[in-house]
Amino acid sequence: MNKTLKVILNILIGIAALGCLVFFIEYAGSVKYAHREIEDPSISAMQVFDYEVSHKAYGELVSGYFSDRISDFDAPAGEEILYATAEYANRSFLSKAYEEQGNAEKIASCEAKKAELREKLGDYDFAADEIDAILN
Amino acid sequence: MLCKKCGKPIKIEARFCPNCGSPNELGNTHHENIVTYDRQFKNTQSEVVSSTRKMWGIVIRVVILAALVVGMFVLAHLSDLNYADPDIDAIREKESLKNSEEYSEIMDQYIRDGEYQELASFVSYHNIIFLPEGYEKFDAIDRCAQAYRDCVSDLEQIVLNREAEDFFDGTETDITTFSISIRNFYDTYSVQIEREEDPFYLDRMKDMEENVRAMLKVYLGLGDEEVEEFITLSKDKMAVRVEEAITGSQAEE
Repeated sequence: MNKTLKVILNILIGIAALGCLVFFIEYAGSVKYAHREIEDPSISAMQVFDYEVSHKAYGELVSGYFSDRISDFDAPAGEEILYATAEYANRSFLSKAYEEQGNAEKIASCEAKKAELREKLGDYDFAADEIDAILN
Repeated sequence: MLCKKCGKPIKIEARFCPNCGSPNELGNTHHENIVTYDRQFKNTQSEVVSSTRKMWGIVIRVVILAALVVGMFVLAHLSDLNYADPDIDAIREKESLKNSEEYSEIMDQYIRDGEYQELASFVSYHNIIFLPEGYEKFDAIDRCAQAYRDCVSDLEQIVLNREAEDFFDGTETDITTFSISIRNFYDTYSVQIEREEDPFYLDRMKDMEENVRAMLKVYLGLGDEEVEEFITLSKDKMAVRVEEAITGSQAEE
């Protein structure tokens, strides 16, 4: 009886040891995954931004901006110009609607914000000119 | 006791009389009994030891098995933790409940400033849920703001892509998407305006609607009456109307 029990237990120990080995390999893989090198997302975001700006696709830019803000409300490091350009486009777009309404207060607020954003654009200042040209 | 032969006193366990040397029967019997008991004791002891050893073999195996099973579970759990990304939405939702007073002030400021897209993005980012203990008062206006943001963003996509030939095809998805979002805005607006009890928020929701009307006039070139008619159309009819407006304006250009 005891011998049979021992044999059964030995078999179970063998299976469990094998299981442990498998789970250990899985665990080692998970550690590697957890410490994997992740490419800085701002690099690809700025590459897309450059592509969109070079094609004057400011609509895509603004659309992406609103989607991005669901995960990053404020501009992540390295994407400040992207956010500023998209916000500039958004403000310019709204400004035209406020002009239609004749709402001087909102227009003034929009224009002040646009001026502030334009200063952040640096080398991408031309994008603001292009946006204004598209909307006017 | 006394020796049966010489009558001298002897100890009961003595095998022989110390005086005459004759054997003591009781002593011998006692001695044999002691030997028998000792043998039996040793047998029993060795049986117990052997049986315990056998049990120990099983116990040790059971312990090893249990340790291996626990190890498997621990390793599996650790692997899951390493593979799992943090639940950002749950973290933000928890934060939003904790900071409801501060966030409510920010949201009210956005509403006062007419920054409805900011409000919608703020709510989405912080995963704010409109519970009675927190943000319930913003429920109706946020629903409107979410629809407003989508609608404005989709119109912006069409208008601001005008010069991007690789991205913009006036008859395709952008117009369909905008038609869906503007229909959704008006459907949401008509429902939420009935729900809203705060006159200030009600006024802000009307402000959103006026902004949308102004955008339709500016960017689709619709007149007052056309806008009035446009907002009653189904999304499919809206799409046709938008396409006419966009391609018409492009042709003029």
